[in-house]
Amino acid sequence: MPDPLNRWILGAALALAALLIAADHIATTRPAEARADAAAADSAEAGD
Amino acid sequence: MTATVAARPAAAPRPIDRGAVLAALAGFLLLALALASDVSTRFVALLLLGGTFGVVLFHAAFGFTAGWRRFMVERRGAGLRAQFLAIAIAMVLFAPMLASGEAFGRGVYGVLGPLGVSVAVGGFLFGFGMQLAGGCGSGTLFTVGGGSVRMLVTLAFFVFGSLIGSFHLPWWLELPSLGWISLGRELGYPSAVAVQIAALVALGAGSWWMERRRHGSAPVFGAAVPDGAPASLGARLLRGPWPLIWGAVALAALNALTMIVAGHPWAITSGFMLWGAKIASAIGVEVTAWSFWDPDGRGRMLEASVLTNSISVMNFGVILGALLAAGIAGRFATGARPSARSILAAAIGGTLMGYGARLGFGCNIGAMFSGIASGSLHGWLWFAVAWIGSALAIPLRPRFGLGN
Repeated sequence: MPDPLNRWILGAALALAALLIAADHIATTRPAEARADAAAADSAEAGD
Repeated sequence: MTATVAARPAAAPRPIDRGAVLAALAGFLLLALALASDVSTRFVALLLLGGTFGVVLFHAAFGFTAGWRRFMVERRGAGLRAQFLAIAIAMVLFAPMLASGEAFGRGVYGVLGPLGVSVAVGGFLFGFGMQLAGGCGSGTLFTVGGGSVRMLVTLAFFVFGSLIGSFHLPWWLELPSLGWISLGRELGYPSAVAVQIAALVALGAGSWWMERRRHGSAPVFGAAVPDGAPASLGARLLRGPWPLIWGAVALAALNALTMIVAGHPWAITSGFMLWGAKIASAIGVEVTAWSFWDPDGRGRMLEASVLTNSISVMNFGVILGALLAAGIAGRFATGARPSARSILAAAIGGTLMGYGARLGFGCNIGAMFSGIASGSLHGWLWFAVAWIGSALAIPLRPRFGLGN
């Protein structure tokens, strides 16, 4: 039997994730040259 | 070989879950806008690729964990053979790109890892953990998107385990290793593809023979029309469920597309590690003091937006894609309330998977699917030891109230 509480928990988790992503993005978004630097680190990391 | 089995007639379709569909579309829209504005359109493409992975995984119910368990417990191997098919197709698609080192003018590289103690221990822990958790790397993402609260717990502990694994990994890498061995580089890509396909065919044929001996018949890739699927092809495509073979072919094609767009094959768990490190940093843990997170190396990723991390963006896409598929199918969050014991298993399993994925240089996707398809021998070692870990964990599942 589906538990209606599940929807609330998942909705809250989705909202929390959205807030965390937004907060991280706003706090770290910098000029283009810094982003290029980060993209280079991402490329080096993507091995798994 | 029997290609198909009869399907049960379709039940009345469930109504579309508008709330889930709207939430998924809103998530895609907001992320796409942020990516287009602050990162690049290539990352919008990666988000959509991740979303397509999520739809495919959900509709085909393409779970590595359940596929292994069904073979070990019931000797039903269609899921296992579908995984082998996906790896084989991806390998054929990867080979020309890896051999030339580029695709459409953009540099590409495969997944490689060391053939050593670290991967052996990591793969074993991952295999053990995934049976307790009830899902692997991809399985965790698509079941969370599909509305499983229990797998949300798995995901949280997966992130935690990944973080701890990143702390310990430098120590593990000092243990014996034969180094990073690429069959493509050692044998040449055509020979590497031939050798690996022969191995996958042998494993698939062996599983088919064992299944046929036990059951008398063995559909190679399961039902052509799954139980409960709508009669019309269009409705089946949109609302699922899909046959496993659709899932296998689509996942392989999407993995090759990922290599073209991202420059590397599909991977999942290094995104979890980054999330863990960012959360730990935010609450005051000095992660950059750990050698793994050297401020001049990986530590730079902590200073950048999570939306500049290709693997994280694809992971967000997988969750949203599965949410969309579940909403369209009317199957979002249809599970019962999980028991305390099964939540405990999710926490233990998630932690072991996270830790194991770091030591093992990937999960079932990064190490096994993309690793073997890239021709890396560490993918085969990972598969072998994860299989042993799974076999040892399956008998423990009933103690946590989980069925086999």
